[in-house]
Amino acid sequence: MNDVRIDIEVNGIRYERTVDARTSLADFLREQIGLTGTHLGCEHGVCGACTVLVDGRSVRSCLSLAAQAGGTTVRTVEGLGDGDGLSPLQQAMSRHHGLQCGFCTPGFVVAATELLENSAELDDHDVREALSGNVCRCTGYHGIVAAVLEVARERQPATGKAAE
Amino acid sequence: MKPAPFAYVRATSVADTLAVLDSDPQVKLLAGGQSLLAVMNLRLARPSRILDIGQLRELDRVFDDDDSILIGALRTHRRVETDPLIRARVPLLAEAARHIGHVAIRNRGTLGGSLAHADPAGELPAAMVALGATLYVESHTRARREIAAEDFFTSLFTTALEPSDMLTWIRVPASHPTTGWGFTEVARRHGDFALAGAAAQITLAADGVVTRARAVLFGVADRPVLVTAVEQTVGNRPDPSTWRQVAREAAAALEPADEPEYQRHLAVTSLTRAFTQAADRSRAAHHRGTQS
Amino acid sequence: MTTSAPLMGATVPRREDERFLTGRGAFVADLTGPGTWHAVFVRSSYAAARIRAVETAAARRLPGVLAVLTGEDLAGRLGPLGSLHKPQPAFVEAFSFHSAEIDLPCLAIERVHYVGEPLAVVVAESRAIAEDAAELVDIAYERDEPVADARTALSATAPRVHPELPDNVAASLQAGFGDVDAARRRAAHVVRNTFRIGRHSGIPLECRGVLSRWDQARQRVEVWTSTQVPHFVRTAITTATGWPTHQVRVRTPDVGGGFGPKANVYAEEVVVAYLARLLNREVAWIEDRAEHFQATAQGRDQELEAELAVDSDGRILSWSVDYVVDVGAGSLWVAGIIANTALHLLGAYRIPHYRVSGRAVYTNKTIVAQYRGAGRPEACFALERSLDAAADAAGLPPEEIRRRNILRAEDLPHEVPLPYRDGVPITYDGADFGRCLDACLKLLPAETVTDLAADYPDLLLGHGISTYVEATGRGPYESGRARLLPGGTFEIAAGSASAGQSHETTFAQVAAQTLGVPFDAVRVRNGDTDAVAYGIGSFASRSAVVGGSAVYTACRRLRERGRELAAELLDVRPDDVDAVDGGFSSSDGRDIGWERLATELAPGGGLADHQPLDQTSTFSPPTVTWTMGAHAAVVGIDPGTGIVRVLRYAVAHEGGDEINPAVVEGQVRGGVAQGIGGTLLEEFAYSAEGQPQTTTFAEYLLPGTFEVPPTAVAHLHGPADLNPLGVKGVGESGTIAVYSTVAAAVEDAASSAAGRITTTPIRPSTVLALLTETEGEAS
Repeated sequence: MNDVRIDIEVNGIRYERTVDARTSLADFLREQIGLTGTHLGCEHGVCGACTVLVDGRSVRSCLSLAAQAGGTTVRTVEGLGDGDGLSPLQQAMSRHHGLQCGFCTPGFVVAATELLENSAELDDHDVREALSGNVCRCTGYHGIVAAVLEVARERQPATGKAAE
Repeated sequence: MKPAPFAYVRATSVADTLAVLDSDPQVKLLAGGQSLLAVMNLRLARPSRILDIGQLRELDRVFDDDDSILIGALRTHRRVETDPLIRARVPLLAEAARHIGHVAIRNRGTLGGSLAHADPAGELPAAMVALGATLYVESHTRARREIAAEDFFTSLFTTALEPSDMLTWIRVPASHPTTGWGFTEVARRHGDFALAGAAAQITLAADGVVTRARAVLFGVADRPVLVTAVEQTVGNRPDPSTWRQVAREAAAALEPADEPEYQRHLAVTSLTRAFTQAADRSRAAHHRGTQS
Repeated sequence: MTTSAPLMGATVPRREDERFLTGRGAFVADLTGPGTWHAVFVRSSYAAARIRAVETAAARRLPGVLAVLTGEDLAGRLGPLGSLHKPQPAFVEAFSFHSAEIDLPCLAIERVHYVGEPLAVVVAESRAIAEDAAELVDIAYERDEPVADARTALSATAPRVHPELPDNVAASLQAGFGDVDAARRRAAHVVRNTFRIGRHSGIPLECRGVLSRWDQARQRVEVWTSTQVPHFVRTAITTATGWPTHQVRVRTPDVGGGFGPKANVYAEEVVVAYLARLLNREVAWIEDRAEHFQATAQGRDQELEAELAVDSDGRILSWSVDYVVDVGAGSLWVAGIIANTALHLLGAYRIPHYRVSGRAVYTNKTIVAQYRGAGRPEACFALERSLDAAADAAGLPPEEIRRRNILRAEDLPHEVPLPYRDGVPITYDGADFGRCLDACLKLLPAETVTDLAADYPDLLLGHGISTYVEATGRGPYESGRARLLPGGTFEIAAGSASAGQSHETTFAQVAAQTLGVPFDAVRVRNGDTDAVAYGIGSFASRSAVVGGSAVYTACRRLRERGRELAAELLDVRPDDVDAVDGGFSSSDGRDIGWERLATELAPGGGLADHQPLDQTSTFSPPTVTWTMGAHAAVVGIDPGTGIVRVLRYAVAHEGGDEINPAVVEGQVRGGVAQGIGGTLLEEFAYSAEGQPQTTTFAEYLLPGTFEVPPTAVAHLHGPADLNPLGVKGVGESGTIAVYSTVAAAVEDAASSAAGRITTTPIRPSTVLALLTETEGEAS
């Protein structure tokens, strides 16, 4: 049969599940463990709405099988808040009107989180580069870029660690 | 856009992988999956069995040999791009990797996967040909073969790999300190596949005479195109018009599929820019050498 | 309870943000669960063919498949979708408007008209299995000759897309005023051009999707659909099925962008609702991106032949245009699309003589709906490009020819001797369009090119400007509802459902201020035909104007009723009670808060025998209200590749009052981004056989972070007397003039003669050819 047994940690919780081999990581997150914040906008790896962090690195969950993700640690948009509240990035996104319909937003939050966690100083070009794989159809990116830059500027310089 | 059904097996070792490949010609290797899973979602590819080699740590390593770097086929683009060793010893390769798609794609896509996929617009196949890399191919029944990158890519999405073969390691000659490199690509948008691109390595002597020159065009034919015309610059002291002339010669030999005139123009532009970058970097290296 | 600063006009943080930022939005696909059955549509592989047989046995046999239905199976049980817009008689008469009637079945029966047309549906336990089964449905086609180009479709010998019609003309109109021929004879310069705007569309990041179930207890179908027009969807379902209106409830969950393609109704929505009842199961169809490229309505695709005549000072003498819109296999919005172009071709200028004729034409391509701008970007492109060409001919700078013709304070309001689609004679209710042009040039002057030269040494830089007008806030009406909830808070609903436009925030601002209560006391419901019985929807830059005014009216009435009840409680005459922040106050100094009213209205309270405080109002605007704006761009061309980057952008627009300035700016900036996509990147391409050539995002290119520049926005206030909020629409302001503005900037950067770029998207090869030509002329 095409069933695969996986053991995966998502947002701090460990799951053991059996999945059909063809189940994408995105469909696993959405349908099997109810994390519908990871969105499918194209299912061919272009729009970025399905971006999640696998072992700390941004990944297209539509171009990843759940089976491949067995043994990894996954963080999704649902796990990127600050305790019960919004993270500084999420707050800045709202303050700068970096979202309208909200469908692309989880992907941007995840991609920007990876950027902020892995780099010390950021300029406009760095931010646009890191987010160039995410499509927003509503905002023209204006508020998104402004929000990430603001968080980068205001955080303690020590929190950024150099890229690998 | 869900893939057709398939069976999934995770490989435990290279030897195990080779045995499976030998016993089942239908099996498809899955590395990072950034090309394969997209076409499977579109049901343009429908393998019945997937062998996931993504966890083969043995192929996710890089070795520094004296005059070359040995890179495992499962090294991700992102690791290639950011690896201090590769950036220092083969900067052209790190730059080529940086041009691939976007961060999330590079975090997942692998060097071996990209070479085996052989997209004619791909950055890494072009870089390997430009660098004169050697690809190590293994199979269950045959001895390990070493294939020159320029012989590896045979046509559109087609390589010298047999169905039971696996690409395991890539040996890339380290660039000489006075070798300059250039890498350019033309894309409609940031991160897109190239409409045309070029990679070049040029070594100038201290007096500005070309001692070595090698260049590749990509995105303009069914595989990376080695620009043989550049060899005529060896022994000469080129000026900017020389590079454009060589580029024009190389482009004239192309027969691109759509908008041929425009694509030839892009070939000239990208090759000229790659040559110029490479020559400038070689001159700068001499300059630094003189200063120190 | 007291309110502080006024809410209207304030940049209040968006209500919607927290759930979207934490992944707790609820889009239609998020509503599916383990008990949901998944529908997948089998779609036509050919652009024109007769269906000889549809073999479904193999698909039915696949484990996990519940049902397979073909067009034949539904024949006689499901009727076609009806047209969504019919213009008023005064417009029909003035424009000699005609349109053809076609009735495409929800699932094709005898014939298919475009690649992607649904002809069968599979229902299975998962999307993957449904896709497996759909592949097993075997269709025998007999292929017909397709026509994929509008000009060809107009020829007498062209194959007919709908053989039951006499030709391929879907709609036509003609109108004008003055004497164009006489005026042209006096002209110093006459510029003629053929302009083309390619086929592209909104491409919301969320595809479409619909989920439906049969509520056995209440004997009705419940539908959740990703739409801008829930009430239209309800009508489509009841019309096609014959079910009474009370048996259908349509709701919108969070909607991931609309932009027009979701202001359409679709066969899939009707079929899924039908299946839910037929099968008595929860059934969902979640469109994927591959389907979206074929099955969701597209836009634009227009060609205009235009002639502009000016005198030696560059003053416009006459303007005549003949245009053709390719509506593919059909459009439920054909009247709106073809009319919009004719109604917006006059732009922001004094034009004494005008002649227009237009035709909408069927081809064997995907159906068409209105996409942000909807016929206006095409009109703007033709007029503004012609003005640039005329300026060149007259030796005037582009801004000067516009200054000489633009409508100024003394010209406004400006009456046009033609009726709008609603039959009301057109009046531009603006303040000073010249002021807007100046404001835009102040935001992004032509000298910016010089300032930026050092930053972009490898690019050729150029500057372009354009202006546009837009009729916004069209009727016929919208519904708003306000009700007091137990505990003294309020729930607001409107017929114009949000597809991402911040209604939960802006409608709450309108309601809270109108009711005199804190923002936090008001919540806005998503679209729901149970919340308001009648509605139109969110499109055509109308929600704030018409939906917002309906909410306002409902809240005004609710407050008035509250005052009457407060008076009754206080045992004084209503005139002795004032509405104050948080409630009511009598002239003798006694206060009644809303919470108290809620308590008194509850069982056991002093007002328990009264009707609850619950007001529904409709607002019908007398006619449309016109916005105007000016755009400017600085672009850079890579001279080695012809690739264009937009480096800076500015929009100054004259609207009414703003409900939430940040939301307005967001609409403008987002509109600019979509305009840039359409101008430089996006196009649905088709082969001569009508086969789609853009089937993934590898071919259909969307603008990303590097393709959209910083955009400065200036908002100028003009009169807005046609609605009680004093607002005008803004949803399309950012998009309409981008095409012409960027084209002008590209020509400037290429040092080319003006008016040379006549087609969008502007291909890099075209730009390169322009550069080569310019170099040739220079040497």
